[in-house]
Amino acid sequence: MRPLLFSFIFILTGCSLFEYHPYEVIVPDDEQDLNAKAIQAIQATIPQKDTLTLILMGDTQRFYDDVDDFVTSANTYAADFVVLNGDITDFGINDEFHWVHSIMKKLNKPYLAVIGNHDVSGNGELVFEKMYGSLNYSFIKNGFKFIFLNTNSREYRFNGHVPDTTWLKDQLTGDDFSHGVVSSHVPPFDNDFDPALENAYARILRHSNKVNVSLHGHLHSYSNSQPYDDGIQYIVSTSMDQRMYLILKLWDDKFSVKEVYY
Amino acid sequence: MKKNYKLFAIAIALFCFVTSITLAQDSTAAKPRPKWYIPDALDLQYAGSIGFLSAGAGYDIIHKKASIDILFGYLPRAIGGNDISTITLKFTALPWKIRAGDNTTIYPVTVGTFFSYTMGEKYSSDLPSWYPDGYYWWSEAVRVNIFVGGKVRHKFSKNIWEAYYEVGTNELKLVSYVQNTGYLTVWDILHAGAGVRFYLNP
Repeated sequence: MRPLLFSFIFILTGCSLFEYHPYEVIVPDDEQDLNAKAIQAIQATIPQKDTLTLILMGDTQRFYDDVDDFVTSANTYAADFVVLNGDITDFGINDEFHWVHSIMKKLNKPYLAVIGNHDVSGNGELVFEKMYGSLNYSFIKNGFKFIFLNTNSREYRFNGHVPDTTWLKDQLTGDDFSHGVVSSHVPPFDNDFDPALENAYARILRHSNKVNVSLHGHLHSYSNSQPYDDGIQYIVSTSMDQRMYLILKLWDDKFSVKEVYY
Repeated sequence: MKKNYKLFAIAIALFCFVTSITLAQDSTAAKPRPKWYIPDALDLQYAGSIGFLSAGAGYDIIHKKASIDILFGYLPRAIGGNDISTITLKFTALPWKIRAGDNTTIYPVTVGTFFSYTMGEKYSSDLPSWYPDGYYWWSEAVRVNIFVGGKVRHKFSKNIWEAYYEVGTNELKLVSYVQNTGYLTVWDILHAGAGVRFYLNP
């Protein structure tokens, strides 16, 4: 009887069909610390060169078929890495994170993800932390410092701490990089960004004298503007159901943006 | 969250206590018809999208062709990454019955639906006041599930036990699948649970 019982329990727990809760935070080992692994790959494989080419996309939420086609299209393009600008999921449930990564891992280049407001739903923030890592993180490559920031202020009831402007200012201070690129889900000029921190955000970027692009998602439509008339370009990628992504080239203090429809 | 753990421990203890009392009863004594609110069965379930383990009470309805179960489910942080407690109201129809010997009945197909409510302020049932109307259309706390499954009932000398399983999905996974039949398969959105039911007054 006992071996039978043990084998029964083994089958139960071994079978992935058994779900404890949609909001369970259960991430297999090979799907953990994905951002750190991507940064490792970026550092190891991208040579020293003048121009870095990024693919900007985001809002993959519930557009799995379109994301799958995006990967096919993006794989034909010679870019250094991909930035997923938040709203990985629609409902913040464990399975959705897994579904999106199972598509994105087919990319032939590393991808980095930043958290979106939908990802905070349920226990999504815990799943994101386990799967991708810190909500705010950065790395330096070829003189460019890439800074990823949680700007989903409304999800934290506009508590004044999201985005963490102190951390952002720290990140943009220092002489170990020449140019800064900031990426987050909600753009500062949107209602879901803490209005008390909007000016602080724009000011930190401006005063660093090192940033000329701020990258975002959330609005589900492409825009490329200078809302603060300070020479800093705010680039917003579309949701994946629009079947469009952006190619961003960075060199010195210059950049170019190209729209790709697929 | 400690409180939820205690609540679950109480539910399990109650399950064991009532089971042992019923097992100890002299089955030859004439039994009065139980009050309507006394459950027909006690349930213990593994997984099924409502907790790691769930305990509850079951009522047979419509001449034993269906049942209603109320379950309290708990998922501990050590297993699920966060302590999660749910209350579930489940309706199961038993449309097909096969007798397999004197003491065994097989229900090859069961179909049903359940509503689960996830407890705690973290999981809002209504959109909180600091969101504009219609910002999110779904509730974090309430999930609606549909399922199919199977069940076996066996009568031992003094009592009746049932073992069942369910495979189903919830409304959020279903809408994800319906809009993405190219990438997602039905298997991606299914989840399963299994459990036992113990009859109190066989």
